[in-house]
Amino acid sequence: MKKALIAGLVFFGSCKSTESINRFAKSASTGTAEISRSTLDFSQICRLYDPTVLKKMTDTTLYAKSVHPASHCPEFKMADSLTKLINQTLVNYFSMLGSVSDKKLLAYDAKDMVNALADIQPQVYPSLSLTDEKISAVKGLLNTILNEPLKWYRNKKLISVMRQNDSVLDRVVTAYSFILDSALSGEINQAKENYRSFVYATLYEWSATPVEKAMVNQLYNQFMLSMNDEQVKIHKAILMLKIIQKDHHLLAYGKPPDGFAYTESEISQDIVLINKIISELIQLIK
Amino acid sequence: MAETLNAHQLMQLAQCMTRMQSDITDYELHHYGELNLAQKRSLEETLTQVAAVAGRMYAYSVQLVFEDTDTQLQQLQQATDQLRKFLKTAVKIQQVLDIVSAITSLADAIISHDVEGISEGIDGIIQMVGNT
Repeated sequence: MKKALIAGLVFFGSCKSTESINRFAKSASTGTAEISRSTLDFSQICRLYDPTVLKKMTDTTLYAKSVHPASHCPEFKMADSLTKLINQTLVNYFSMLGSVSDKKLLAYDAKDMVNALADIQPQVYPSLSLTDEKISAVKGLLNTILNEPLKWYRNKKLISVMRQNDSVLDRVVTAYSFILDSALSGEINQAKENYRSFVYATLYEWSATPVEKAMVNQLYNQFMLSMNDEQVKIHKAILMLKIIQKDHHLLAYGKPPDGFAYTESEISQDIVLINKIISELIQLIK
Repeated sequence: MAETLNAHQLMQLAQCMTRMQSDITDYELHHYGELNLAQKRSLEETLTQVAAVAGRMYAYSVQLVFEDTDTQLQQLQQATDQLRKFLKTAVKIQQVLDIVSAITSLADAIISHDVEGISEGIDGIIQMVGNT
């Protein structure tokens, strides 16, 4: 009976490992935080590419000292604070999934307990001989007996929270993707258009020689390239969010009939992909 | 009842504004020589207004998306709090296991008549209990 219980505990623990959840959660929280760090803010776009700001680039007065109306960008600031709130909520959720699934945090080491028992034994039961082999076997068994229920308890809680919140996360990630893909990307397209309308058109018309025109074109191309980099970052961020969304669902429900082995291998591949995207985002900032 | 735009509709409208600005700029670039000063000023004013409105629309759409997702965000925050509380409970279980281990060590010290060990063991247990 006891043997069956121990075997059951070991089996439970090994099947329902929290390790995949932990690895996923860590990558997801790092990746989501990186999205906020690497993409342009709405306020930054307003501060740099608002028509009134861009018009300063065609100011021909001495030291470009003409007075231009200042842009205050209230909607942009509001958009930033709401986007940050969404990002932070996701980061907090994934970080907490990571903390609860962290095996280091709750792994119980029975070493001290076993050593103390081994020291007591000669005084209490001198006739009973405890060899090192027996002691280490007891140690292993105790670790299993004490840790497996904890693991099972944590895993049960994690799966239940992830299932309860899978569709909620789906909505939040979809909203976040919309903000990045439509609103932020739209602002970047708008910034490109603003540059064309208020800088390029003016400078090009003022250029008197082919050399001047070529220089204006060069500046224009540089600007467009930098804006395209921003859009590449957004596309990478959206791809990462899609992977996170898919993996959360997979960890919460699995993929019948393939089971846990399929989930584990899929999660492993996706973590590599998420980490690759994080490195690419970091590269694009440099 | 007055109808309001949702975030997707507002986005489409903003994109139309951006395209309109693009078309006006194209026109300006191709007909710059034919335009008089007043026409150029008028075009620039129009462009400035269209650009400002489009920029604000993109930013404003975030508020609309947020309003739609507010409930889900709160649910996710609650789930995070729930996990935080669970973590505290799990850590307490861990601490109880540590206390069991410390008590065993204390028993060892008592049997061995190790006065220093007994004192250290009691201190350790008091500290652990204090932390739970």
